[in-house]
This record gives sequence, C-alpha cells and structure tokens, in this order.
Amino acid sequence: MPDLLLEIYTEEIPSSMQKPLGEQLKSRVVDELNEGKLEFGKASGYSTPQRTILFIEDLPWQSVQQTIETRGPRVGAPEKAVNGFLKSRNKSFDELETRIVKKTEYYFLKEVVPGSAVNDILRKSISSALTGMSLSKSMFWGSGRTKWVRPIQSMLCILFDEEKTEIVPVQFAGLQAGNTTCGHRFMASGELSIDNFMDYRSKLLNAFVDIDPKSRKDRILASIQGEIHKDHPNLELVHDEELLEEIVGLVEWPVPIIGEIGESFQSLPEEVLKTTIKVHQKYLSVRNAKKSKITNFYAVANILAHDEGKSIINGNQRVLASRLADAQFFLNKDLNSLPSNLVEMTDVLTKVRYSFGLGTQKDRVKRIDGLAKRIAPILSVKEKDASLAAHLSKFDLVTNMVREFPELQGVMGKYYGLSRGIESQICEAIEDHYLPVKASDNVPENPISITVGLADRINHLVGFFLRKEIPTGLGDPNALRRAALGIIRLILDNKINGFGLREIITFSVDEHFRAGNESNSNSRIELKTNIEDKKKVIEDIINFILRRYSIYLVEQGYDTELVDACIIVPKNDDLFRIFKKIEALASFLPTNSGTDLLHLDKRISKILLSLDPGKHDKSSEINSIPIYPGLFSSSHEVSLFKKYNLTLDMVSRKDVDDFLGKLNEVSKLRTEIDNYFDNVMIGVDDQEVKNNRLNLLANICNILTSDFDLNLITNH
Amino acid sequence: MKTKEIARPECFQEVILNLQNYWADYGCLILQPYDMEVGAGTFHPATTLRSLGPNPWTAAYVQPCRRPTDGRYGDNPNRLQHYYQYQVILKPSPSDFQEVYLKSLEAIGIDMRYHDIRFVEDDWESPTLGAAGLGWEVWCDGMEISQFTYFQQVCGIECNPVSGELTYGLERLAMYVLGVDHVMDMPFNRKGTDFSRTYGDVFKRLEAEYSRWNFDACDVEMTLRHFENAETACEEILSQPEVDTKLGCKNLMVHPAYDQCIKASHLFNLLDARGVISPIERAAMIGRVRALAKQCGEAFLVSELEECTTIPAKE
Repeated sequence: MPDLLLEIYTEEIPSSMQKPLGEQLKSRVVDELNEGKLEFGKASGYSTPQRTILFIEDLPWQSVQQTIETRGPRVGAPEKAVNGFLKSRNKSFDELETRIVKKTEYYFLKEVVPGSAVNDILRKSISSALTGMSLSKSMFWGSGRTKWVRPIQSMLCILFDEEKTEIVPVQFAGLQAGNTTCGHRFMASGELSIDNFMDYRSKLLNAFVDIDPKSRKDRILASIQGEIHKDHPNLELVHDEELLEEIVGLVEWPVPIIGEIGESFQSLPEEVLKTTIKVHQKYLSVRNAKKSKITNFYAVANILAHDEGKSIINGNQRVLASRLADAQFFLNKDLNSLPSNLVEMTDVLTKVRYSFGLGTQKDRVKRIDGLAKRIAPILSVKEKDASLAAHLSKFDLVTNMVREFPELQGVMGKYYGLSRGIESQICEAIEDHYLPVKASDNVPENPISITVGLADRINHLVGFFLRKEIPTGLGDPNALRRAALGIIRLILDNKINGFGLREIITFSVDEHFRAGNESNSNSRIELKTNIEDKKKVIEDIINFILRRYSIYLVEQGYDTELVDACIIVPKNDDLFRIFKKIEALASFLPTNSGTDLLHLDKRISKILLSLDPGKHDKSSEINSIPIYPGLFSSSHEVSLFKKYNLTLDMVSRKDVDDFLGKLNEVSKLRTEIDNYFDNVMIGVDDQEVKNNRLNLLANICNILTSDFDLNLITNH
Repeated sequence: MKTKEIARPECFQEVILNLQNYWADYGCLILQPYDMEVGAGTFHPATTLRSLGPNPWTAAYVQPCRRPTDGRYGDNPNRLQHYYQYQVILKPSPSDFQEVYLKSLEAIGIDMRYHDIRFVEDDWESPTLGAAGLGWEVWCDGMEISQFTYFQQVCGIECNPVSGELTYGLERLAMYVLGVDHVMDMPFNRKGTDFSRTYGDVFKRLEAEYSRWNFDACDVEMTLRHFENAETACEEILSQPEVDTKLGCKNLMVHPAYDQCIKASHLFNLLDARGVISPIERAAMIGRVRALAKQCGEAFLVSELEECTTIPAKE
C-alpha cells in the first residue's frame, strides 16, 4: 500500500507557529480524506523553520467502488415529480427501485461510483485543505493573492510504494508540486529528487537537514552534555524547556557553540543576565557550579562553520557584551540617581499614565495602597508593611532599566529596593506581586506579595469595569481575565479564608467614585458609571470573577455541574469557601449518602416544579415559609416534620464550613421522604393542606440552598 | 545576474559603495537620500508612496536617519541619534528575494561558510505611517544586521502587489564586517593617508551637540507649534482644488503634502525625546501623523491610478 509525502518549502516560519501550522494542515487533509471515505493508516507531521511536512501511511492506489443511493419522491407522487427526479439524474423509469421508509413507500435510485485513482483524490483534497487553512497571522507576497505564514518557495508531493513513485501534482500559490526539494540553505546545493520517505529523510540528513524537531532537540542536548562532560566539568546547563523548544524551531541543523560572559558582567543581577541571554539573544544559560554564577552560554548556530564556529562565537560574544554594557550603564545610572528614600519616587509616577480615564500611576498606587491596607488584616500582614510595599510596587516603571528592558519590571524594583535598605520581604513583594501571569508561573506565598497582588488586581478590575471597558469575545486588551485568574489562584493556592470579594470590591468602587469627584487636570479620572449603578457594577465584577473561577476549576478537572452547584448560589463571594464546598460535595456524592441526598432532592424538586413552580424559586428567603402542624392529617407528615426540625437543628449546630457534615445530615432524611411520598397525597383539592405540604417539602430543599444548588446536578 | 569579483571593503564608505554597486547591477534605480529629517529610510517617498498602487518599482538608496531618543552624546559604542540606513525596495517582491539579499551580504565581505545567518521573526510596524508588514530581522552571528519585510499595508492602504523592503543598519553592519568595536573608531575612508578619517572624526561632535539639543535645549512649546503647523499645512495642501489654474489641468500636490507629514513625524520624535509626551498623548499624536499619512497615500493613489496627472482642463 502506498504512502503520501507532502513538503511545503517556505521562507522561515516563526518558531512558535511551526507546530500549529503542521497540526492544522494534518487535520485538514485528514478531514478531507475522511470525507472522501478514503481509508489510510497513520498521519504524522514534521517541521523545520523552512519545511512543513505531512506523511500519511497505507493509502490505497485506487479508491473503492461505491454505491450511492438517492431517495426520490414517494410512490404515487405526481408524474411530474418522478420525471424531474429521473431527469436530474439522467436515469430511466426501469432503473427505479422502491422501498418503505417510515411507513411510506419511496422511489430510490442506485448509482455506482467507480473507484478512482487515489492520486487524483489526494491532489484535490490537499489543494482544498491548503486553500481552506485559517492562519492567525498570514501574508501576501509578490503579485500573488494567496496567503500563507511566509512565502512558499516550492512543494513536494509524492505517492509511493516499494515499486513506484508518483508525483501528486497539487497546485497552490501559483506553484505545482513535484518530486524534488533542496537541502540546507548554506551547507547543501542543488535539487534532491525524492522517491520515498526513507529516501527523503536520509537525503536530507546528508544535506544537513533534520526534519524531526524532537531529534533536533536531542542533538542539541547530547552535544552540549557531551562537551560539558568532556571539557567543562564545573559547568551545568540551566535547563529551559520553553527556550529549547523555540531554538529547535530556529534551525534545520543545530550546532551548539559555547561562549563566555565577560568577567565584569557576571556580577549583574542574574535576572538581567538571563533576560538578555534568553529573551534577546535566545542563548541557553550555563551556570558555573563553583562560582554559583552564570558564566557561560550556548548559542545554537544553524551551520557547521569552516573555522569550527570561531567567528560565530566571537560575533555572538561581542553582541552579548555590547548588550550587557548597555544594561550595566543603565543600572549604574539608576543606582546613582535613585533617592535614598524610594517612596519619593511615587511623585515621579505622576508623569506616567495608568490608563485613560483612570489617572496616573501615582493615582493607581494610591488606590492599591488603600486596598492593601484593607486586605492586610485578612492575611495577618502589618498595615505599615502592606502600605510600604504598595507604595513601592510601581516605582521601577520610571527607571532607566525598566524603560530599556520592560520585561524586568518588578525585578528591578526589588533590586533597587534592596540597594536602598528596604526589608527583603517587601522587596520580594515589589517583584512578585505581578505573579502569576502565565499558567506555569508559581503563585507567591509571601503574605505581603499576596496582599499587594490582590489589591493591584482588584483595583485593575474595578477601574476598567467602572470605565465600561469589559472584555467581550476573545479580546481582552486590558488583561482583565488574567487579573481575575490571578485573584483566584492567589486565594486558592494560599488557602485564604474569609476573603469576601463583595466587601473589598465595594470599598474599591467607593474609592474610585471619591477619586472621580476629586479628579483634576493632572490626574483625570473619568468613570463611565453612575453612582446609582454601583450595586450592579459590584455584582458584575463578582460574577466576572466567579465565571473565570468556574472555568478554571473545570480545567483543573472538576465536574462542571458540581462546580456550578457550588458557585451559582446567591451571595457567594468567598472563593476559598466555595472551594471547600466543591471538595466536600465531590467526596460526598459518590457515597451511598450522596445517592440518598440527590434522590430526595430530585424527588422533591420534581413535585414542587409540577405542582407549584413558584415555591422552588431559589432566591426566596431560606426557611421563611411557615408550616402549620394543625393542617397535618397523616402520621407520616408529623414524622417528616419532626425529622425536618431535627435536621435543621443539627445543621445549624455545625460549623458554617462543615459542608460534609451538613450534607450528611440532610441525606438522612431519605427514608422519611420516601415514606412520605409513598403514603401522602400532596396534590389534594384543599388548597390550604396542599400548600402546607408543599411548603414543608420546599423547606427541606431549602436547608442547603445557602450553600448548594443541587438541582444543577443531573448526571450522577 | 553576472557575478563579479568584488573587493572586500576596508572602510565604512566602501561598505556603502559595494552595496550601491550590487543593487545597481541588480537593476535598481540608485536614488539619493531624501532631503528631510526622517526616522527611517521607509519615510522616503520612494518607499512610502511608491509601494502603493499597481506599478512596479525597484530602487535603492542611502538614507540618513534621526532617532532623537537614541542619542548618547557620542559615547556609546553603537548608539547614535543620527545614522545611515541602506534601503532597498523591490515591487513586486521577487520570488528569490532572500537569495538576492544573501548575495548582497557576500558583496560586502560576509563569507557564508563562516557565519551564522538567520531570519528571525519580526513583524514590522510603523504606527505613524500606518504601515505594517511581515518578515524578519536578519541576524549575523547573533547580531541584527538588516530588516527584511514584505509590506502588507502602507498609509493604511493594503499593498497589492506586495513590495519587499530591505533595510541595512549601515554603521552596525560595517562595524561587524570591519571588526570594529566602537563606532567612533571605524575608518570612514581608507586608512593610512593624510585624508584618512574615522567615523568619530566626522560625527562625534555632532552626536554630542544633537544629544544636548534633543534632550535638553530644544524648545518644547516651539516644537509643538511646529508640529501643529506641519499638520495644518499638510491638510491644507491636500484640500486645495484638484485643478491647477496656471497649468489649466489637474495637479494634485501629493509630495508637498507628504513632506509636511514627514516633518510632523520628526517633530513628534523630538518631543518624545524630551520626555514631555504622556503615553496617552503619545498614542493620540501618532494617530494624528497616521491620519496625515493616510490622506497622502490616498491622494497618491488617485494621481497614480490616472494615466497622467496632467489632463487637459475643461474648455
């Protein structure tokens, strides 16, 4: 059975886009083939900066003959309709068959579609897959009107088995696929004619192209480890998977070369070194274990140079030295010019805008300070520490270093703070109150960092909500979703009890309105929300956070319904308490008691819904419906009422956060409930009696409503 | 293209001369620098305006560029507020654009067998020109030596066909080729004669003077006024009637208007260097320059798409 090989040879495609591009191409082609009912084996993708490769195994040469059956008009339909059906398919009346479908007899036509050459099918499928790609960033080039990530130079597309190789003449972007490709841009020349996949791999390896990203990564690591082991026993590679993945997408033939960092630069703050080495130059850092400093780096070249890389490494060292000299210059300039009391820097922040209508960075810091002082007691942080950290949280934005290296915000603040004798815990907060940013970031544990981090994010959310700049759809220009997620992770990972969002947000909203009233030409604060809408905005912000929370928890593997049952409860605003509920419910539901609870809840809800939908309104005040024992007529009613009161009493004695205990108490009502339903008729004519019965059931349902909405659980 | 044995450059001006010869041989018009202060070679009307519309265009030129914020009083080894760019514009971009570019590096003495040349992702954007393109910065042994861009949009107008733009940072590239560590030490012409001068001999003083001017002396109020004047002038030029009464035919003043747009852009850069523009004003001013560029681009297209700009006026 033949295999298919497709290579799209382009100008350099950005590293981060190679994998998604290959994946999309693969799935589009696979979809096309499936649609054409073509069977095949494995489909795999490979990539280099210049090649997007697809390899599909075990295709047939010829597609199978297919019989397609089309349903026509029903038997007895007007002649016109039948003739029209025949005419449109160019068939005669004798070719019709009849069959009964759902009690009606219809005419059918069978058409045999002969198998066709798979080459033909592939050509069409691949062309259509290429045309249908949706590329997030793509471009036109030359006079063509085809879009791709970068200009396409040539295409190779062949169908082959042990005996023969056929070109699949796919057409795209004004090019037609052939059976040739070329090797490494600088280390090979001429065309390579390809017969099959083995041939392709080996000819390219000889022409200094390794098409497999994983194998390129292994080459890099093996070469570095080998060299370090042999020549530099004191050195160790600082492993950075993310950077390594990026580098793999920058080279077709990786050649790591070790370089040195000038002695005088080795004392720069490690983060400054790392940023320059990694972000700007894409080198791998190498640590000297003896000096416990970063002293070397690996540049991964794309060529085996004639002088064994001497020119290359000299060049790279020079570039790095000049960048580090720049950093050193700005660092010294800052160290010499910053005041000894860094809080004075807050005044310089008036020069920098926070966001339109939300004042300057100084205004922002003032509001963060207010919030931080408010949050501090929850985390047992001293008010004065929280306030100092808040005041120093943004000063580094106006330093030379951060203006030059924006990615070092926070890091430089910490560094300069330490240089001015600020306590280390506060300096730590200046740096990591920004965290977490990405999913892979660690969440700070220092209570001062958490305090300022929460204050910064809540101020951010409140400000933009009051400005009505709320993310819609995919766009989130002001990173409000990230801010909400930050709040969630800070609270959850640190198990922060008693952080009531509503109270803190209300405080911040009030602060904004106050600042809006004091707004002047220097710090213009223009809110787009009226004070009358205050309550609504507060609820909108809480719901925005809860929505992110629910998405986050589901991503963490919690069941959607279970999460909803704990989150969609009125007045819910304590994130860690919600988490405790989820944990309790998740462990309780699979038990027998859990089954009992759901059973009784379902039974009651069903009857309430059918007989009196209004009673089941969750927003109604809990346990507020009075029951009249005088209206009871059955012993089952009496005993259920007794049991209800007992349960209510037991539940109210439990700790408010003892969710497992509460759930368990209520589940014990099952037997009484079942007895009640078996023996008591609820839908009686006497309205008073009927309502009294329904009210008792509603009250039972309501025991847990302040914590859970069990109705949302359907699939346990 | 014929391959010539090219002499390896020994000084800054020979790097420029080799590039000039190379691109002249390729078939480019060798133009001269535009006679106005610009932040990048892209601002030259031979790039900005000519990249619009359907007509093919192939040109190369040196362009002195001003980046007031990059001034370091001539002390920094590789930062200058005034420097040279070598600019190439090929419209439509040829299919062997990368190859042609790499050969130009050989022409200035970069031997591909010894160096690591890379095309590193860099999406180029000029917010003041309303221009954007996709392409790369080209690295040689870890150093950025050129910008390589396929224009997708200029003056807010989609490019069709697409122009390929190359920008070489001449000082940086020459320093690398000549093995010089400090720009001011670079030989401007050949060493060893009475006429020999270094880059510093020519520019060190100017860098110090302009740094002081850019950062401290330049009058903010006056510059702001100039900015507003340029903006008004540009709009007024474009709002003149199409028909030139003296010529008696259509005569749109696209280039004079565009000059005012360039001027506004440079004055904005000056104000930026003074640090007097808040981020929000910054965005607004960039928007104002972009609006001018857009009007100029649209006017250019109008005159370009007509066979001739001077059609007889009505009797």
